[in-house]
Amino acid sequence: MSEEKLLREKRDWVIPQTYDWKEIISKFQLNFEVLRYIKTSIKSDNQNNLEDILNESMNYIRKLPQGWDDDNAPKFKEETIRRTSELVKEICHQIWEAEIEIPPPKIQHVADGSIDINWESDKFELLINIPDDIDKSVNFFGEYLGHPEDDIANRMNYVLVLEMIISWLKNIHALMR
Amino acid sequence: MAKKYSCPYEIESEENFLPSHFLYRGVPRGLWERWDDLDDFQPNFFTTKDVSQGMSVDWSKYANPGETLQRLRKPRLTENGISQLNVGKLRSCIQINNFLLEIKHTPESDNQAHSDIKGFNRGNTAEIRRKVSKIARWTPGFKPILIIR
Repeated sequence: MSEEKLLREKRDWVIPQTYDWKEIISKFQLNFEVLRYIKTSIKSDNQNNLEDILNESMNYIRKLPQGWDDDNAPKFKEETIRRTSELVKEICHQIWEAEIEIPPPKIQHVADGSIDINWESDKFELLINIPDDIDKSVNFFGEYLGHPEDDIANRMNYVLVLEMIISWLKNIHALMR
Repeated sequence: MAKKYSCPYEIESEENFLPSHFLYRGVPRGLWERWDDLDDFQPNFFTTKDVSQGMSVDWSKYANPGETLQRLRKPRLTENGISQLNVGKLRSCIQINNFLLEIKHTPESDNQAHSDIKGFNRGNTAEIRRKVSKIARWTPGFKPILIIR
């Protein structure tokens, strides 16, 4: 089987949530260049998926009118939407650059005008709530499932959240290995 | 001179909320219609617009889920589902996680069952909402009906 055909076949049917690259290399006898191509393609797929998810979610949230919950829920501020989107992009890009595979999160609107960034996988869960007011703290809670000693919970200023989250995700990724 | 209306119902203490009781709350379509799985409660269902007031619920001692549904602006399962939190499980969740939440009976003139879960502003709301969403369920017979629009 030619390398190209092997690559095409394997790329089409398997995009696992986590990647054991040593296993992939040995199992399919792929060389470094082919492996790099696969990783770049998968990263690009994740980025495209993320863009799609963010665009769809933010457009949906943006269009929600005042009272969308039948109980006076506020219309979402553009600033809240922007901060949510930027944080998600930064987290995902930095984590994917570190070759850690995490799926794009769910973006969920909350009746108090805040937005949840919600990751749920079989290994970890992470909830980040972006408040509707830039003066309010961002609340987040992360669980490395089955390892409560590695949970993270905090409330802090938006500008400090990225570094904390990246650090935690890298730590639990290292623990998973 | 305006008449001052007083609530005719006595406020009961927290210990009257028995472990077998439930707290009912309507969840509007605007929240659950985008959940991947309608049976998988997402943290965004558990919130309150006024943190100081707490989250409004109906106490099963004085209300059934049908009454809770009828009190909503759109009393139809295509628009609202009725969630339930078991008091025993909620208290256990509060205790295990050291949440500073309290269940308070706050009857209103037209709703003896009205109660509030208070204390959101005294903790990490992300953690509270994540943990509580895991013990929430749809009340049997009051799971919402998703209609694709």
